[in-house]
Amino acid sequence: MKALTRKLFRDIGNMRGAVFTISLVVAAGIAAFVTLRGTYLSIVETRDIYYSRQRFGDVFSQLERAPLAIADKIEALPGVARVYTRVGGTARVPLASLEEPAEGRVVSIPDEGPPPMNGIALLAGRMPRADRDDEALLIELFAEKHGVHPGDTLRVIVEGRERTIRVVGLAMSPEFVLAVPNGASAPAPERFAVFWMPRSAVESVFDMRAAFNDLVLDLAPGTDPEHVIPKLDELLDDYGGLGAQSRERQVSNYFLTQDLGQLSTLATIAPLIFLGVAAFLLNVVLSRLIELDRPQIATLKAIGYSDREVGVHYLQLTLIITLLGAAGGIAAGAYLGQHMTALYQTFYRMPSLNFHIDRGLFVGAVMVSLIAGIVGSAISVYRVILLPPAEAMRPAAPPNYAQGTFGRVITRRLGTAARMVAREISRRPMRTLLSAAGIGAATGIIVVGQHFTDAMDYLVDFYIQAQQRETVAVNFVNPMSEDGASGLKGLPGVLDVQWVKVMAVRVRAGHRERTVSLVAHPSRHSMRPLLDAKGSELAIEPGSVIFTDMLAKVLHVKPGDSVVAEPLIGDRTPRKLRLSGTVSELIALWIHMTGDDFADWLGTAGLVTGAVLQIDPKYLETVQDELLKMPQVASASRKELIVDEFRKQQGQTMGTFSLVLTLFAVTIAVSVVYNNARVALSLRGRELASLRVLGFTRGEISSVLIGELGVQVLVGIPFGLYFGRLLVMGMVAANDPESFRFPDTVAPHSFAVAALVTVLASIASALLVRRKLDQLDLVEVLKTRE
Amino acid sequence: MSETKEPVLAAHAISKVYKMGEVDVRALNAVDFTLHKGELVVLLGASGSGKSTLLNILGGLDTPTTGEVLYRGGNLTAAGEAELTQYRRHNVGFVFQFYNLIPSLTAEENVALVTDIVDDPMTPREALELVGLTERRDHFPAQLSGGEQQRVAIARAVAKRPQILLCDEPTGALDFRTGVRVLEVIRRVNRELGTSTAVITHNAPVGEMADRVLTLSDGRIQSETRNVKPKDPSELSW
Repeated sequence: MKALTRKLFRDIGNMRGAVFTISLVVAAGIAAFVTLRGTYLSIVETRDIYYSRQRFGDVFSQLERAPLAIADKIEALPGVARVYTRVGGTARVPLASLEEPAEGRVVSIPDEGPPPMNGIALLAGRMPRADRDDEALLIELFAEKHGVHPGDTLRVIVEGRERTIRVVGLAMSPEFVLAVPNGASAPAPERFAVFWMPRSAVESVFDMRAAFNDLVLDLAPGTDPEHVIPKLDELLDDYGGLGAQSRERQVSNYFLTQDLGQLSTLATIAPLIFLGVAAFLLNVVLSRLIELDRPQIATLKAIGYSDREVGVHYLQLTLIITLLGAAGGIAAGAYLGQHMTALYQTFYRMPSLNFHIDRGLFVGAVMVSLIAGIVGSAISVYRVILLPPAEAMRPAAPPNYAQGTFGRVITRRLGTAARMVAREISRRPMRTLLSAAGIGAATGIIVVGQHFTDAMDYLVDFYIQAQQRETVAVNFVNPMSEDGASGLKGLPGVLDVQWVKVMAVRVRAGHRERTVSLVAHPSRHSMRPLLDAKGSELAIEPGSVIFTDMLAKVLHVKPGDSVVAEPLIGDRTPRKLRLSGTVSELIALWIHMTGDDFADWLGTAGLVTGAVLQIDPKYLETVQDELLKMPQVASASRKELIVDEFRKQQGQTMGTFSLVLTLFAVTIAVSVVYNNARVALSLRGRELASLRVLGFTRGEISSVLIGELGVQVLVGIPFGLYFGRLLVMGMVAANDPESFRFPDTVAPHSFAVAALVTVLASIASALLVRRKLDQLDLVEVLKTRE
Repeated sequence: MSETKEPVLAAHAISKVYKMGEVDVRALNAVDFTLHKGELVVLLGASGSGKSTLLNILGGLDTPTTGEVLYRGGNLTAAGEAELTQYRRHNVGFVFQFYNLIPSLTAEENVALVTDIVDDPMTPREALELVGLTERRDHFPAQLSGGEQQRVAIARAVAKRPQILLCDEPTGALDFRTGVRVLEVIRRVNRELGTSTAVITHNAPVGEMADRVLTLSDGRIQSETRNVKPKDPSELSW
């Protein structure tokens, strides 16, 4: 081994504290990169293979009922390659393991042969026989959650009638990668059952012989679905079309795309922060090393090493640190990636969703770490190259502490230690700022971790608790009259009933249009009030509507403007609506209208889609049982259970996520503080030892060093709190604003937690260095020439 | 002695001006200097006389403000950084007042630092044998005395078989007895390997071992003496 290479390894051995801590930060960055990016790529790859193998459709539409002959007309539309008609409907599945019946969906499959589109993968058991009307495949995740096996039977309520269905096999389909119940704002696989049954059986259940009510289209390659959809909708208008959707808006795929988008954003932001900090630390540590190594650099040059060779020598030092970090990061990323993918596997249903690191990701991780290393060491290495050999033969000139008026004013009143701290900071303001930035990055990351919990709390408190004040919410199988809904009041224990009318409408403003939900508010709507962001109730002006603010934005309308809305049910009479105001809402896009205007437009018959009930707690169980026995009730859910379930599910995921982020942040904080302290100690060891010789106590000289760190931490924390807020805003902005508009506010206690964790991590690392300070050998330090 | 009068290194009218803030400091003022093949020259001068500046320029560590330096007829003044590096690498051995060993490398490895990058060097062991430190080869600088460190530095300087050996206050940090040992090694290298050697020192008696003694002050050569019979370092005293 060459002597210079030996020097490299010995130097690394001598600065192992710095090497270890910086490698750790690099490792955290690379681990984040490999985990997030790898999970993202694994999901995307699996999804693409799955979609293409199972011939996932391009356009989907549901309708009331159309004769099969229409399919030929649809197939003749330009751009349509193939049409697959299906029959389907909703069901309820009461289970002992669920307090409320699960929502079910029945989907037809051809009597013979595989579906031409939206194929299904049979995972266990066999296909149902076409001559049996009680055999079905069940979606595998639901079966797993409730311990249902092939051969088991399930009680299912379809079209108001109870039936017994024999589960003969378990399956999955690209249509239901994420199991999202109708109208739900989050996947709920344990509450959503999908049954695939032979078409002849489904036709008879839903009375759809020679007809269909569900449609899947395959488009010719290169066809824009947005060109096909308006023509399809027009064709289906006469048959109760509910508005076609491209694959992009298909509910399972839509949620999947949202998740992937977030994952991809995180996969960029998180590594960037860590590697930025690592680059900064390398810069700090390397510039100290070079300052101390001046005589050695000069000697190497004097005895004939070229500038390049000496520069490369110091560059290698950085590259080894970063490669060590990259190796650790890739290993950790491989491990975390397995777990993260496994976590996604609990929500996503795709065959063989396996985490793997392909060559591109591996090379990417190494390249990214090397770039951080090179960025971090460029300035120092450049200084090495520039250092003239003769200049460096002399010891470095004493640093210039010349002070301006400001410095004089600041330092006049301070003690010696404080004065030394103040002068050191004013001499190297950039280093202080960058250190503060590094510490701030740690604080910011903790804020992000805390924010997830805050956002969930806000969602529950404001969206669910404040705006859904009922005990139980009921959905009807088919819309009914107001009187029918009021009939629920007769149940013993029901204190109050208010009807719910929600209807899908297509709303147009000029050339812009959206399909959204229109809500009619009864004159008494105390259980479902319309609240603004501050929580005060908004009144809807008769003859006008209120939009979700985002809907007004995407349609480019403002209060006073008019839009045209067309219901997607009934005879579809369009109506001009005048916008009188907007309301800030967290999820989806809505139009709010008074009940009277709604009745005036569409009449009073059969438009109540649900009801909300106040129930005496003593009668809660009985009332719910009664409700579920009613054939016209599709679901009756207790709000309390929804909230509990939501909290349980989100709490686990978010808790893990916050913990991982906080651990990463602590790594950064410790590494920044420790390395800064070590650098300060090695640069000022003689000075501090001299003070000790002059009679200063250990405590007094510690305060010089620790004071400097304290200033960095104090400057860093407020910056970090602000940075964290920016990160949160960035993450919130990464959501599709038409679906989710989570608040980007951070609770005060979250800021406090972030600041506290940073301070504690800093104190711990300062104590590590304080030990070194106590061991300072006075005689040796003064004797040795640096 | 072996004075063949063949010039190896020659400086013609070199001056060096440093800018110190707003003041120009003239470290060298029109100095002429020639080092002949196999000769041992001592440059005497007090602190600030310009002798280190001269040595740095001769060694290719620095360039003069005016004048030129010729090595075997080639003009170093016109050379770029890469050529100066090659010049130092293959032709010049340096010995510094503070030894400048690499603390993280053993004695043998410090010598290997040089033998790694030149053609036809001695082995590090041969070089250490020349300075009488074979048995200390595995020691780190911190485990060696000042004299031993300086002898390692000399071994490192001569291991490449340089044409020129330049020594900057080689005994400056050493006591008398150790200093004499180091000077003996320098003289031995000069005599046995025929390396043209320039030693700078503020210590006048050291001049008695030289073939030629130049005295510098205020950036100029004030006097030149030729020793008909140079003394052996063991005969020196200060």
